[in-house]
Amino acid sequence: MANLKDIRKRIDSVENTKKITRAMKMVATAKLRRAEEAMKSSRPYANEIRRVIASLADRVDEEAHPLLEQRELPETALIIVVSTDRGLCGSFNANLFRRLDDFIKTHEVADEQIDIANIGEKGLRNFRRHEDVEVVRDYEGVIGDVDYDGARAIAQDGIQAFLSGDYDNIYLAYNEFVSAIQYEQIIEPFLPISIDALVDEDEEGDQPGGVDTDYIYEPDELSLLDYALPRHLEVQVLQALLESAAAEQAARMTAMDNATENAEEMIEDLTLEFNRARQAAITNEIMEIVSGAEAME
Amino acid sequence: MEAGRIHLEVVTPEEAVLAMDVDEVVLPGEEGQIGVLPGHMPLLTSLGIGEMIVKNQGDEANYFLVRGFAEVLSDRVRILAEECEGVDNIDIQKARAEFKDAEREMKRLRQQEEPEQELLEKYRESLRKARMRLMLSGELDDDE
Repeated sequence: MANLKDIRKRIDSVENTKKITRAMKMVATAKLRRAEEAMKSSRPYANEIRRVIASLADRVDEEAHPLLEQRELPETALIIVVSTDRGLCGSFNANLFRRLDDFIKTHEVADEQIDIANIGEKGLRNFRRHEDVEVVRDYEGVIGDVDYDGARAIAQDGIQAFLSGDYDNIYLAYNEFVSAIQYEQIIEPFLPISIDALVDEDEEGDQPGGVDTDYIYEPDELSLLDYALPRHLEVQVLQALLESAAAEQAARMTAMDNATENAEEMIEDLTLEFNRARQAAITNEIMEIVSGAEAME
Repeated sequence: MEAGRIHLEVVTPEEAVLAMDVDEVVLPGEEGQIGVLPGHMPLLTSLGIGEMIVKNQGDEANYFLVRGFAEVLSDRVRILAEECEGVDNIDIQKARAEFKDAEREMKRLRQQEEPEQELLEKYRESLRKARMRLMLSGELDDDE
């Protein structure tokens, strides 16, 4: 049986761990609230721009804009992956990477070459030793401080890479925030933009000012579309970053809550063991005294 | 909604800035100012960098606005802008610093043999924004 001092030490150490995990849970909870707020604030713009594009695209030729061009026989694809910089968030990243591995393996065109544009240190570490893909871009310091300018730079790089013909398809992969206890791995098409998908997502289609309204367009449909499409992509990246940030905090909150609970259980077990060891020690001592006294007789 | 008023909404990628009923709104269209009164024809127009004036029961509020769209209906104006802030909230110090930075960088780039056009455009845009911010705060004369 372990001696008393050792058990005491272990209890203290688990107590300390518990304090840390509980503090981390509280920090994650506070950050989650802020992240959720930011996520909600960006939604009206995103919905609105989708609606505007749907209305514009209705009036121009589908092939009219290079960002809408679906290429035949695509050969190269880029996946923009949003993971996290920091760990201790359960299987948040592992789930995403597993989902991506499936995606990469089962991708329709078997010999399509797939590259990664990485956001998040965990992703960088994962994909560096990945056999099938290559990290062609890495964005540092985006996750801690998500803002429109950061998202904009990433989206603009993606647009360049698509227009230059380097990539025929670009995808966006991230964890989507569902609720404080749930998130979902998403891999969605980024470029070319599919107008049909935009119209599906348009929730406000029926109300006045919907797709059917006959607007005067100034300067003209195509110029407006030319402005709107990049904005849509920028906001899509911004939303992915914000979703991922909120989901990350939620995942960390859950992970740290579990860790705190585990620590509590462990402390209970160890305390029981400690008491047993203490009683055993006392019993031992009594027996020694008794047998000592008997020997004196 | 009351008759003869416009419901004005302004959203940016990061937040919803405004949602209120107003009497009249003047927008910084890319090809000049656009005044919108109730009963306007449906219009979808791009916006430049400039001033948005919101008129409400004799009061006027001024906003600094950076590029986007305005969707105008007879009783509603929805604006999608990259940035929007009340003129009173403009950070003059910051705008001055941006102005100087952009000017200096552009001068530096112009001295190069083949200045990178993208970078030049970036600073040109930042100069435009800073200049407009200063102008609206009354820190800059129109002809400066």
